[in-house]
Amino acid sequence: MNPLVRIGGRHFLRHRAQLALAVFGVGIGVAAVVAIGLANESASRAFDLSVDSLSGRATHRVVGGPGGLEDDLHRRIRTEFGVPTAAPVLEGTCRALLPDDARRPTLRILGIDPLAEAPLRPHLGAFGGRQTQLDVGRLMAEPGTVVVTGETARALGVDAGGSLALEVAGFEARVRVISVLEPTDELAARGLDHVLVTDMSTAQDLLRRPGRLDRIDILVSDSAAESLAASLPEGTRLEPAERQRGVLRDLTRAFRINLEAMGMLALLVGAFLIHNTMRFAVVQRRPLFGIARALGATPRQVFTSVLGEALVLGCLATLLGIGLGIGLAHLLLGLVARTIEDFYFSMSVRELVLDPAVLATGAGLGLTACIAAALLPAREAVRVPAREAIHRAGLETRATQGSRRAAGIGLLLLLAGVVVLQADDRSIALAYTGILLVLLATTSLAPWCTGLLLRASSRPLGRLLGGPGRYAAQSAVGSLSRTGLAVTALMLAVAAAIGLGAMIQTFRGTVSTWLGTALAADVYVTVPAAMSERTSVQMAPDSVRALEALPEVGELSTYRRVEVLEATGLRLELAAVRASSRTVEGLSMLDGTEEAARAALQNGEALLISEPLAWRLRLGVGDELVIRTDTRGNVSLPIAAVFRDYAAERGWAMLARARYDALFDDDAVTSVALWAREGTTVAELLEATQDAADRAEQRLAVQASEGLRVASLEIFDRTFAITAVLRLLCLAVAGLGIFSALSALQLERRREVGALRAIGATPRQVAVMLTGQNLLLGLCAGLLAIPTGMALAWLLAAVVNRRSFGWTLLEFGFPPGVAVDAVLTAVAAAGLAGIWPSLRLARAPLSAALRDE
Amino acid sequence: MTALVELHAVTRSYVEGGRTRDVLQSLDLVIERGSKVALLGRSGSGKSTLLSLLAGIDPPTTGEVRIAGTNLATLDETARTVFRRQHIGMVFQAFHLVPVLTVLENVLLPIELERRPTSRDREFARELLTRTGLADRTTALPERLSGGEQQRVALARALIHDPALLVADEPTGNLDAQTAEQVLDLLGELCDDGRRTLVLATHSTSCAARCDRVLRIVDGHVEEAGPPTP
Repeated sequence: MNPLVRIGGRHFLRHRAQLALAVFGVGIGVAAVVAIGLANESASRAFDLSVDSLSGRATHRVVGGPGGLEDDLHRRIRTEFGVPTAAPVLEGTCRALLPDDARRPTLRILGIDPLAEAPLRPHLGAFGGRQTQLDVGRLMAEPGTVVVTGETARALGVDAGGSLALEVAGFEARVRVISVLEPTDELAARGLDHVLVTDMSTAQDLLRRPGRLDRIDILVSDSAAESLAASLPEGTRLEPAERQRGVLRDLTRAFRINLEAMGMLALLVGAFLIHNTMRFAVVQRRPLFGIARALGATPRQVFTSVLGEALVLGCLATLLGIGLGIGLAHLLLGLVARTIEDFYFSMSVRELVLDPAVLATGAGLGLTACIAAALLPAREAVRVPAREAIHRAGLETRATQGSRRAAGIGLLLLLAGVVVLQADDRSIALAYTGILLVLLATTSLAPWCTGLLLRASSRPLGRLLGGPGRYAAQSAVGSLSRTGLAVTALMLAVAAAIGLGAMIQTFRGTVSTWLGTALAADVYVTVPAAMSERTSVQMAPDSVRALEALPEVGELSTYRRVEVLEATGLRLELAAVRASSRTVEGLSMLDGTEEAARAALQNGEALLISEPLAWRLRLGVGDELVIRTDTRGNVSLPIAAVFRDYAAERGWAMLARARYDALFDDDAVTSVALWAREGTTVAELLEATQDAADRAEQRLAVQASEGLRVASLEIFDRTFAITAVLRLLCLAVAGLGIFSALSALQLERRREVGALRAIGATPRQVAVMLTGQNLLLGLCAGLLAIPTGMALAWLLAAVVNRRSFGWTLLEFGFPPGVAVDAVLTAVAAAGLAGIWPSLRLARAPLSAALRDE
Repeated sequence: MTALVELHAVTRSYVEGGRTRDVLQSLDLVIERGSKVALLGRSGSGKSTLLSLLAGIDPPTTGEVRIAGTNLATLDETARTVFRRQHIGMVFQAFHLVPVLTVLENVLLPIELERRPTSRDREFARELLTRTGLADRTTALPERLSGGEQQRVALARALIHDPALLVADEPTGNLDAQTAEQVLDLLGELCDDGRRTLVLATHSTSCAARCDRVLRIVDGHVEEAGPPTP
């Protein structure tokens, strides 16, 4: 075996704990990237499968406005327009009311015409003489019957012949399972997971949409599609089936990019850790490399052996990281799916997809990080003259000089970061590149700053604690080649943790303040549903009338939230508002006046748009937005005002209800806002509203504005639960990093400490001295983490948030508590991480330490 | 002369690979105050082990090690350390200077481990450095010094607290012949006042010849080696 390889192997075998820490630290970095990638990919895959399964072989789909399509259109398409392969679909969501189970799992109702399914979705149809598990006759003839897959039936605890209690749009309903399908192909099984397949008339009854369809899937050639598109009635349109596939990716793009970036941040911290480890491993064996080179090893041999070690270490770490990542992905998948369900749409994500591309990306990043991290120490190992390498003299002088050079490079990187951040005020990729450059700049500056801080602390510590105090500081400066790295790694991790924390805190503060203004009404009423279902739920007309009739109500606004298309086909969320005189009080204007907004909501001549929509479509007051309507084709509406909003990241627009009614064939209401009559308290209004809701057939959610504010903040916290997990990962990597660094640092100071002991330092004095030094290093890391964390928090809050979602935060503050947190976290991490190595060193047999060369 | 060092039935054993090896066996030894004693012996014979016992670095496995009447075997690690920094000075073959401290700081270190150095301590440290020929190097770091200079700093450091016993483990082992002679001259000069006892381990017979008494360690036992000869 190559002797250099043997030396490296034995070094790590002798220092197994160090090896394990390094492998584990990098593994966590890789795990974060893999876990986030797998969770994202699994969610996307589940959605795609569901779309593919439900689209089947359809090439196009006919869709309408917010109210959907008339079901007679299906017949007309087949007979009048000559498209025989067409299948109508009506979809909606409901909750299963399971006995002994408070979870109320979400199910999708899929209403179909079983006789039309076979050519488009064989797994649902398979009619026309072929064998089927579906009892078509019963499904069509018996109202309230459904078919589910075996997996769904098992999850719901129901068999063929059993019944299921449901809550659909606030109404309770009961359906009977007449058949359990066991699809043989994966696509059908995944696509139909947690889906209730039912006949169209049952779906229309359940969803209370008599005579309506959501879409009609068709199979046509491109030329036939063109002629069909031309024949379709006003308010309907033909679109390619594959357009739906991109919906999830498009809707959740910013969310996914941010998650991936967080994973990268964890990997960056992990990469720094391995850089640290490799530096230590090389620096520790510097004399050995010197001897090997004096004996004839070529620089190339030394260089190759160091890189080879990094590769082996990287492989081990990557394997571990992928394993950990898959485990972590199961946890994250739940959080990602929940966020997607909360904000985007209802879907069933239960299975983790081990996407080879994600695994390969994780492996590639892990290995690249290891090799890149080892390049510098490998270069150092071969560039130092053999004579100098054998002795330590000169190493620290070079480290001090190197820290000055690195600081210079750091300033250049900082400048480059600022330039990149200002190059394009919309690019998310450039925002993250800028952040990366800024972080690299701070890591380059950190060793030099550490040297400054340690030198500055030497005299006061000497005065305070005498020789041991001064020794602690001077010894740390004297080992800057190692302590600089340890402090930098800890600084980076703590900065990442407090940066994320401060960003979340600032964002939460902004949302909380905004909710205080936005929730201007006293009481809100809607149908209980996830936010993702807000454009599909409807309040029954009776429910709205009952609320209007309440004597406690002074004023009332109604909202209808729908999805409409912009002229280019872009999906927009639109709220049709029947405004009260106080509706505008809830809007914080960013552009345009309150008077203009009030007028727009009264006369319907203009739109109000939220800040994210203005950002996304680059619109402002005076610009026009063209939307497709049911009755008037494309209608151009001027923008009267832009208001602040953090509820919908893709933005939304408000239009007066009267104008909406004239443009769309839809009279539904999604929610109602109530103001108490003069002389009536909010509590009285709340009680009266709750009584009315209790009397209504439809289950309604009644909340006072304060309750809604709390509920909204809960959703906010849930969304950031993923960030909190990543924050913990960063801290875990930091903990491992600093423990590994301090262990290695103290391991190589065995002789020095032995000499101290020999001339009279007691084990306690040594332990106190070393612990003091660890705390001092932690203090340096904490102090340096404050500006780095502040910069990171500001970049995430003001730059990334803006570019991802179009939000500007009300104010960016860096709470003083976060600075204290940074110092305490770093000092505690360094102190805790250093306890074991310090005690071990202080208690090491003295004679052995003195003999150790 | 009174005895400064008394060893009675001292055994020191080490466990190596599951087996116990006795490095020193039933050792009895008395060293008078103010004497200079050289320890000779082959590598691995136990010279350094004996010095470690005398300096209180290691406790004996069995037996008594009395320095100025104090039995080090009965003291715990901390008490032995405190005793060492008050009564014993040590010089090593590899110097063992603290690389991040200056020459003066290295010399004052044993005092600083005990208490805050006084101006008198600083004065004494400078005096020792003057006597060792390093008065102009007080602010230099050890890496800037030659081997001989480093050993002279180590010597000054070993004497800063005016120890009764100076233990030197092959103090010239890392030095060339000429520098070794200079260091030995200095060592002799610094210990010539009759108050200080010197025990040094060496391979060099010329070094041993400078001492009053020469002991040889053979198979874990100490033998008088007769009068020193150059």
